[in-house]
This record gives sequence, structure tokens and C-alpha cells, in this order.
Amino acid sequence: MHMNTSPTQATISVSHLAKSFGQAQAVHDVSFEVQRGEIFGLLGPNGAGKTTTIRMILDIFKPDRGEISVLGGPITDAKKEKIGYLPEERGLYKDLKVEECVLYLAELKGLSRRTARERATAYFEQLDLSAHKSKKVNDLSKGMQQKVQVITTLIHQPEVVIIDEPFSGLDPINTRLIQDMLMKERQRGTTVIMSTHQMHQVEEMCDRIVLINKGDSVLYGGVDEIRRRYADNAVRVTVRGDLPDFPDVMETSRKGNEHTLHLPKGMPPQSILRQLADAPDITVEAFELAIPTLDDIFVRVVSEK
Amino acid sequence: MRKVLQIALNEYKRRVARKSFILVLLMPLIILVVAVVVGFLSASAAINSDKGVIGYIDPSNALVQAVPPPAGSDNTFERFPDRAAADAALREQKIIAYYALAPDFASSGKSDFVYWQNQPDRTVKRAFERFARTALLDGSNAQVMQRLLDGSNFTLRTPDGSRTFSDNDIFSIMLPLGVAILFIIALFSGASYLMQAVVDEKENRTIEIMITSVTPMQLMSGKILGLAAVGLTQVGVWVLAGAAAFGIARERVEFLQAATIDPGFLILALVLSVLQYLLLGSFMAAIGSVVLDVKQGQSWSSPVTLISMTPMFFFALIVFDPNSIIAVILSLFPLTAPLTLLLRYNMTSVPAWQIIAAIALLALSVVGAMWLAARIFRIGMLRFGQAVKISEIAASIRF
Repeated sequence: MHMNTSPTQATISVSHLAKSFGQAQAVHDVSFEVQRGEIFGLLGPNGAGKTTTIRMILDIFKPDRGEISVLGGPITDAKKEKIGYLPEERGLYKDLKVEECVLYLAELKGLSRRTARERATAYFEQLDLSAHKSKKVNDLSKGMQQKVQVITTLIHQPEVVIIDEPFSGLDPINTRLIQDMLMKERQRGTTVIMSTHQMHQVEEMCDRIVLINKGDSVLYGGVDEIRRRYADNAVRVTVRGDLPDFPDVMETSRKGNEHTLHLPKGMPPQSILRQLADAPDITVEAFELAIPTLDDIFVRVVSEK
Repeated sequence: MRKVLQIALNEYKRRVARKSFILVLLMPLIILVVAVVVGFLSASAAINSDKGVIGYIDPSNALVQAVPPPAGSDNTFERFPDRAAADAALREQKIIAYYALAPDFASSGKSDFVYWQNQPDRTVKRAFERFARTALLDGSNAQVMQRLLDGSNFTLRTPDGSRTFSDNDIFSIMLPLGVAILFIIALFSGASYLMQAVVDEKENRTIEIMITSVTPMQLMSGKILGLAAVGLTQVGVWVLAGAAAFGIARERVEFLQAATIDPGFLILALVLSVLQYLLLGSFMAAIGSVVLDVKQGQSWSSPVTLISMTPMFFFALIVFDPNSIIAVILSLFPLTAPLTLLLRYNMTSVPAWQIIAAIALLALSVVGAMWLAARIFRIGMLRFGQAVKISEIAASIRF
């Protein structure tokens, strides 16, 4: 994990966004910035306002309040060609052949037919779809349709990719394929905004996140920094043999051979390590700071609210 | 513009490739072929039964002066002394029918018409009437006699001489009716295709991708254009087939030989069709974007369809009193203007100001309706499984 801390101009900047539909307040107060070349996670429970926020960034909805800046200013039709969008509501023309569908959507993003065909062929090869390109979209499995959808999102080599639940419906092999493609996009300097529920994907891929809950941004920052911020003074040890008594430890919980020890404020974890080394008849297999997973933090923040 | 054309091309290719389209395309052709075949068969059957000798019994010698028809005519006439002789000839099928004239035929014109089983066609009656009439003329001047027998044929001309109407030109009435029917089928099927295309976009969930690639206006224009091309293909094939059928029929059917098609009428029909299609199309696209499925769309669109069809309800009034106030109002109201103007055009000389005003009003409405459709589309397009309320539509228009 690494965090982009260079003070470059944000690719996307969202400030105090609000949007209501009739009586329902979908977004109340959301602010964040996405830096160039990072993978940014947009997290939140169902109905938190993620999709509405994305739709406002893409100018599908106008916000009631707040400012949005995309690629250094308000969004324009020309800028839309620099964005690749994979919506939550997946959509392809089911009666078209796979290749025709990809080429059509690529042309609408400003590619020439020739370039579109060259890139499509390469993607079909990469994603194992070459044998299926003449089939109708409707005849593909859900997973294959999802891969075609990803191709239509990336084919015009966008500067910004906004991708909503990219891994839903994919098996582990295809998940890895798509994950690698997104990582490659980042290497190319593409900015990726990814909305997802799969926290381990976020931990693996995202540089920074914002957590939206009930229309408000409640947590925002680098993934590592947030995890450390939410870490208690605790260590996780895996041992063979009986764990000795630690008089200073406030609380101990156990899962198999793995023990989590909660330490009083100010007590350095090394003192535990030292005591373990001195203890007879036990073998230490693992010793680490007990940093909470994003999953834990997500549940904690959302249920606190 | 490039994107608009790409959308149009895609829409065209997808629609024309469907089996249902090919079926719709061929349907009138099949009907036409069947009609022509049946027509020819029945015509030839009729000709066989109506050719031949017609007998007559003339107790008062009223037809002594009558001039027999020229050689080669379908019917010739033979006098019989009494009914018994005529009946015998009829039974032996030497004659196809006979007229038994009343003793006071010269003053009353009364006669009995007797035939065997099948009633002969009206042509038999007309041939005998003509034969009988020649008896009343002295026959000294063949040209004068011919003229009197043929009757008059007035040709009406507008003061500038640009338009003529002839008594014999039944085609003048048939053409606008034919064009009107074609117009209705093509326009309404085109417009309903458009509604389907928008609903499709919602059902495929492609709308969100589309509107992050193109503007709603580009999307709409592309669809409207593409489906107009589909409609034109449809009507084009029908018109070509119709023209071919007309060409064939013209050689055989008498009244068509005098028929001419006014190019002004065709140009007007084209301009009005395009504008009306754009107007209806905008309404249909807006409706397509707020409804959940095609079925709901059809019920929403029925008022628009009904209003556009109004001229057909006033058909008799428009054709027989083409300058009435109702006809003029219907000519100016954008939704009804095209059909009304087409129906009136060959019935009267429609004042130029009415045509210009109607086209101008229609064009303005098209601009307004397209703008409105793009607005409504914006709120309707992302609603899946949930209908849009009227109040939301109103709010989007204000926005």
C-alpha cells in the first residue's frame, strides 16, 4: 500500500455536495478530492448516496448545492470523452453482436472505427473473448458480459475511470484479470474511482477512500492511515503452547491459536514481545500489531452513526 | 454531428435487420399482389359473361332508327318478334340477355330486362342505353351524334393556370386518400418505433452509458434520424411498388390514363411528412423515457395519436367542403396540419398563406417539442421500475 501525498491539482474535486429527490435526501454533505493516478475507493452501505454522487460528477444529475470540478473545471461534453464509466446498472445492446456493440460504444467516445477495432481485438485476446466476439451479447454468460462491459469502459483510454462494483458476478480468475487491468490503468496514469462493497479489494487496490453514510462523507483519507487511526493499542500473536499470564494486559481474546491482546495506553508492544521470548515451552509463530481491517472499520463507523 | 449520424446508423441497422421489419415491409406488397391477381381474375371472368348478343323486343318500333354498334364491339343487338322467341334464344345461350320494351317505350322509357342465371354487368346496360339513344337522333352527323352520346367533360382551371381539375379525374380524390393512408401508417409506425427505441435503451440499461458519451439532444436526434430512415425505407419500397403497380394498371384501367400527379403535391407531402414525423417523434421519445414498458407507452401516446388522426374523422367535410373554417383550423394546428393539407390539396386551391403558416407553425412546434423531449428525457431516463409523476415532468420543464 502506498499513499499519494504529492500536492498536485486534484483530478476530481467534490465539495459539500447535496441532492434531494422530492422528500428524499440522497446526498447531504459529501466532500472529497481524487488525485491524478490514484485508485480511489468510494465506500458506503447500500443507499448511502454513492451512485447519486457519481451521477452528479458525470453531470447526469445537477447537484442542489456544492461544487464539482472534473479535470480542472466544470464538466463539458469534451471531458466526457476522457471518462470511462462502468455503471451500477450494467448495460449493453443485447441484440447486437459483441464486437459491434463494443465498436459502437467506442465510436461514441470519439475513437475511429479502425482504432476501435484494433484495441477491441487486443482486449478480446487478453480477456479470452475472441471466440465469442461474433455472438450476440445476450448469448454470453453474465461474467462474460461483465468483461465486455469493462472493455467498453477502458477502450478509449480514458484519463478518469469511474467504476461501480467492478467485480460483482466475476469468478476469482476473472476478478484477478480485471484487477490487473485496473492496476495497469493506474500505472498508465489513469485516475480510477471505484465504488465497491468488497473491502479486501479496497485494501489491496485503493490508495485512498471516502466512506459515505446516509448522504454524508464520514471517513476520508489514505487506507493505511485510516487503518492506523482506528487501531487500538493491541497486538495479535499466534503461538504453539500455553500463553503465559500478562498482568498488564487489559483484555485477551482467542481464535484458535491466535490471541489478540489489548494493551493499556502508553504500553509499548515490544514489552509483550520481550515477555513472550522469555516464556518457556512456547513457540511464537506470528506477532503483529492488531490493525483493524477496513471491514471492521466500515462496520464500526456505520453502526456508530 | 458525427455522433448523431453514428447513433442514427446504429439504430437503422438494428431495426432493419429484424425479421418483423421485413415482414412489415412485405405485407403491403403481398396484399397488392393478391389484390391484382384477384382483380384480374374477376375482371376476365366478368368480361367473358358480359360479351355477346343482347336481344330486344320492340312492339312499337321505337328502335328502328337505332345505329348498330361498330364492328368489334363487345355487344351486338338482335331484334326478336316476341318473348317466346327471345326466351328460346336465351335458353340456348345465343343471347346473354334481352330487353322487352314497353309499347310506350318512346315516351316512358320502360322496359323489362331478362337474363339467364347470372346478371350481366352494368356495361351491358350502358351499351343498350347507348344503342337505344341513337334511335332518337337522326344519325345525319356522326360527329354531333358521338358528342351528344359522350356527354360533357369540364376541366376546371385556377386563374394562374397552374392547377386543373377534371370531371373524369377520379384519381384526384384517390391520390390524397391513398397518400393519407400511407402517411398515417408510415408516420405512426415510425413514431412508435422511436418510443420502443427509447424504452429499449432503458430496458437494456444502456441509457447511462449513452448519456455519459453523448448529450440527450444528440441521442434523440440520432434516434429520430435513424428511425426516419427506417420509415423512409418502408414507404420508399411501398411507393416504388405502388408506382410499378400504377404503371401496369394504367395501361388497362381507363380512368388512370387521364391521371397526372402534381409534383407540388409530392413536395408538400414530403415536407409535411418530415416535420410531422419530427413532431410526433419528439412526443414519442419523451413518452418512451418516462414509461416503464412499451405497453404503458402505447396508452400514454394514444391521445397524441388520436389528435393527429382527427382529419380522418372529418374526412367528408374536408374533401367536400375543403375551404370550411374547420378545414382551415385543422390545416393550421400543427398535429393535424399535414393530413388535412394533403386531403385538401387536390380538392381546392389551398391559399399559399395557409400552407406557409402551417409549415412555419409546424416547424416551430418541432423545435419546441424536441427541446421539451430532451428535458423530460433527462429525468425519465434513469427511472427503472418506477414511473415518473406528472409533477416531476412539470418541474423538469421549469428547470
